[in-house]
Amino acid sequence: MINKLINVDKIAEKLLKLSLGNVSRSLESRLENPINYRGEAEPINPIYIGDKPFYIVKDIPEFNKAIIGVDGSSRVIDTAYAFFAIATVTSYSRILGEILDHPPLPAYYILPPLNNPFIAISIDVKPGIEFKGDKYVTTTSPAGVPYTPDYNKALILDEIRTSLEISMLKQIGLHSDMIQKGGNEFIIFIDGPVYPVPNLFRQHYNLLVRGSPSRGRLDDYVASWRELLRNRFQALQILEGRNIPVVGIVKRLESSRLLLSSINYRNLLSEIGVSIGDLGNDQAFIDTIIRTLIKKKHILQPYYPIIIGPIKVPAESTFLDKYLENVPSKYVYYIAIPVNRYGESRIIYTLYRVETTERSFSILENYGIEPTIPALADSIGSGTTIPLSILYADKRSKGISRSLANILARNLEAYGIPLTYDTIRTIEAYSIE
Amino acid sequence: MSKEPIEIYSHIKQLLRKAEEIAREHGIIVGRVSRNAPSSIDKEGGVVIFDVDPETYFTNYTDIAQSGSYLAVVDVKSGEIVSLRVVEVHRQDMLSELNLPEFTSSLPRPEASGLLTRTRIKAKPLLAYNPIKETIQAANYVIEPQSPIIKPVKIKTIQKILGLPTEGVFLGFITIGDRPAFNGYAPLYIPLKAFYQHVLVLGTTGSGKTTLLKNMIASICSRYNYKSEQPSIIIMDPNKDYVHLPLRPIWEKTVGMDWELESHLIKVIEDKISKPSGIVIILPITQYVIDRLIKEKTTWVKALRIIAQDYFNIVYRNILERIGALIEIIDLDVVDQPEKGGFRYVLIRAEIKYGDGIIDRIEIYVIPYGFRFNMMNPRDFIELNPFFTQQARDALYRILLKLKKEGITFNTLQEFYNVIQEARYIRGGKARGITLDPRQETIIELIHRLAIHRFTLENIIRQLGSMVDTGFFDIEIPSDKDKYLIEPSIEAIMEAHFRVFKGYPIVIDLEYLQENSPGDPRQAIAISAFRILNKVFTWKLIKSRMREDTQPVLILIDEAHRFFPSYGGGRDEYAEHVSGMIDRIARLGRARRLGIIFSTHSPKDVHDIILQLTNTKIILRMDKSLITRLEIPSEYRDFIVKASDRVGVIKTHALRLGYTSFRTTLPLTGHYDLSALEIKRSSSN
Repeated sequence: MINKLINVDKIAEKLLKLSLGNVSRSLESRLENPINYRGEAEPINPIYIGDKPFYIVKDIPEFNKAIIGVDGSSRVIDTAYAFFAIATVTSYSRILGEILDHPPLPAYYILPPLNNPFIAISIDVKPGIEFKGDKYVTTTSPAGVPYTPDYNKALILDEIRTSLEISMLKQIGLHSDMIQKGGNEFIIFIDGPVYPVPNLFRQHYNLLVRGSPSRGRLDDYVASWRELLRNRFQALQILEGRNIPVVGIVKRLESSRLLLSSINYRNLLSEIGVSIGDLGNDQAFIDTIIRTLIKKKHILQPYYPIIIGPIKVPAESTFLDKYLENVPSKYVYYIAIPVNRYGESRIIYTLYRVETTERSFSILENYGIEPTIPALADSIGSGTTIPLSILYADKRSKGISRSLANILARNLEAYGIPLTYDTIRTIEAYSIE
Repeated sequence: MSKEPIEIYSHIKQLLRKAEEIAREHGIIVGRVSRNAPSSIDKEGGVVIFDVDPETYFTNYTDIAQSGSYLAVVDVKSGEIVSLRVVEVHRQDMLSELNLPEFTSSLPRPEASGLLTRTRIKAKPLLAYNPIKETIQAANYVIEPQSPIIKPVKIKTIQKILGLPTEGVFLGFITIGDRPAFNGYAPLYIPLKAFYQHVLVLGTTGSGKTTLLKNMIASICSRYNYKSEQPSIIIMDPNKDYVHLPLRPIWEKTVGMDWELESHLIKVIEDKISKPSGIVIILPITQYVIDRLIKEKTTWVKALRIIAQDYFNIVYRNILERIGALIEIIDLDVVDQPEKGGFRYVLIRAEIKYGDGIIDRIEIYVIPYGFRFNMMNPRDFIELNPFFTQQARDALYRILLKLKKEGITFNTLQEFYNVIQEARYIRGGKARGITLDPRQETIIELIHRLAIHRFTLENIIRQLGSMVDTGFFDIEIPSDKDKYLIEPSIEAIMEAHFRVFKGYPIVIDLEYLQENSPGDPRQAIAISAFRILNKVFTWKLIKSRMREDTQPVLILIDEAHRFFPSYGGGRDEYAEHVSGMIDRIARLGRARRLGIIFSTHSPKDVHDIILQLTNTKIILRMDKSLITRLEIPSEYRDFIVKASDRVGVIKTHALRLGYTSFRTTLPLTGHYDLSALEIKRSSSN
């Protein structure tokens, strides 16, 4: 399939030709993970607007509309001559079935296919090489910046993946009638924030304010992510314009400081005698809160799900309003699902965060529910700790990206492009999975 | 020249389309061969894995998702319809499919969407039917992914893909487990030819053996669905199970019975198969019967009338009144021409008014049966009793032959016995004292001359005594002439079976013999049964040597272990002797259209030779410990132990697949469990 979608042989041919020229590998940019670029920016003073610091959910709600889970996945194929990022995106509903995958499997989908690139290549030779005629391959960022050898590789991965997710959201919005025929109302769960707030905007802004001229490639990265976010907001508008709410499910809270940044939340906590210092991230913070609440008998056995929220994150608290117009505010809840109902010493909760824009929040309010309801119904109500729609979309997109990466790697090798040692080991591991 | 990729692609598209068309023509599509699990074939056979969507699964699971279910697949490349037998069914909730245990919580509740997962079914391909060429062969190629899986709906297709005979004796309906497959539209016929290679029917008490056998008899007598000549049916009945064949069946709804299913199955077949409207009873009578019923001088015509009426009242009137029916004899004729190959029998025509208003007429032929000692040749006489030792056989034969040569006769067996008994007390070959019977001297001298050992003599005397005790020999009525019952000619009965006796099933009522024989019942029924068996066989053999055609014959031996026991229990010589006999009859019987159906509840109690000789085995519910000798496939062993009544497995060369499970209907003929019947008053009382 990948051979049909892209001309691997032509790519390989070009690369080998280029290898006769000047190969310069930018070692610093190879998949180092500058958390300060990709990580989530800490908002400035988000406002806790809940009445209480936590709620215990004893009645698990039902939610009868279909949930479409959307998730992307990305893999790296690194070679001696070029860096390949391969991305996939899936939208799937347990009740409605396969909505769409990109790149597509040989299956029947509800939606028409996407035509977006799903492979990004950064070539370690002179810049400016393009692969014309291959609509599924790109060598430039969403802002048109070429993926030169010094372009941050981790960001390339994120950009191609995020770009696909946004295209998928748009496609669902534009063709929602195809899904809704027969009266199938649905909402969307997307893996990750309802819109990302990468730290690079804050970094850039700080440097800009300081008047620092030397911002490295930050200008280019900001340009790419501005474009991505613009498209994201557009996609959200299309969906919300059709009354389709979008809920982001954030699973990785170890780098988040959103709740920690809410000063009025800490005040609420202290009113019930709970005082916790700055523990560095939301996951540790909430974990400690729960343990303290249990210790102080605010939470008793058997353990039930706990909600913390809502927290309003105004647009201006994220720095995005300095780069984009009409940045929507977010409403955010934290949900903690107990893995065990009883226990003194080993108390484990799975945490995730639910995010919506203000508009999606209103749409759900018109349904008579808060954003936590579909999340709870789809997680604890379905026997899982993370919403099942996300787990399924995640597993599916990862499965497809793994297979594609495997095929691409083997094809490149077959056409004479040597893979790096790490890539070889990774591909071997795919075969065992 | 090889095809271009685009041509191959178009060709495969066409094949896919064609496979869909064939699938829709022959059945209902329920799934497709999986695209993400391999189909394979190796020396052990093939495997097909297919997926069924949730909607199809939940509405059709009884037909498609049971182990042992029959389905079919239309192979994309060949266009052939290949039968499948389901061997495994896998269901998973969505959580299980995800295989992410770290993300499962401890607060589960029922959640419907988790069940919206595909069902994965593994099946074995069986036979491949080409609907255009009308050929059937073993499915020895791999089945293509995406091939449509169907639930066949046409009877012809079902018969073809399962390699089922399309004509023969009706046994019942093919099942998946206990339930009829294909909504009861897959009848199971076994060609009559298979019966001539002998059949063994096994099943514990209450498993439905007798019902099955009666239904088979009804099928044969109804001349339904077979073109070959109708066989004569002879039934050795030691329990009076078959004498009610011409009566209407009574069906009682019992707890746990699926009445809707049973009615449906009966409806499918009731227009085609019905009970016989008459019966021939070969009635082994004894002196005890005569003594009981006949009190004054009479003739055989009158005596038979009395005997027949007494039998009729015991067997028919009694049972019918208990079920609330009325029976009256319309006509009773005695035909008495025993000499010169004629017949001596009683024909009773009776009318039955059943409780639901239905009126039925039946005919009962009663043929009295007994032995006449002085009309038997020595070999025949000795062969009667399987309990003689070999030495006793030899010795007695020589004695009888000698007596015959010398013109010394005995009118009755009792006489002979009395004389030979005395010989035991004589020593030295000479009588002592005064001998009252001059024939005794001859016998004593013979015994001495032939050097017959004392033990051999004792066996002879013992066995002769028990033969006398049966009361089965030399039955006489109080009369001045023609007092003895002459043994009817079985050969003549067989030749006249259709002409005189209308081809009704012939039942040897051995229970009547046991009830009316003062001696050892085992001996009595063994003697009569073997005699008749041998007579039928000899008739067939002689006719065949004379190049004269005879009709096919089926002999049903119920409770076969009583006639043909296994070794052990001190009856080894008996077992050896009868096994030799049955071996001879069975082997030669195949060529002469003489089939034997053995029925028993206990395979370990029946002689091994029966297990070897019977090419078709029908096994109804049985205890696990008894199944091991039967060499049935493992997938049926567990099933047989738990099978419902009237459900079984048949193993026969007549089926291409070798085995199948099936279910017979409720009885199609009279079938009464006397102990279970309530006494009902008739409506007219």
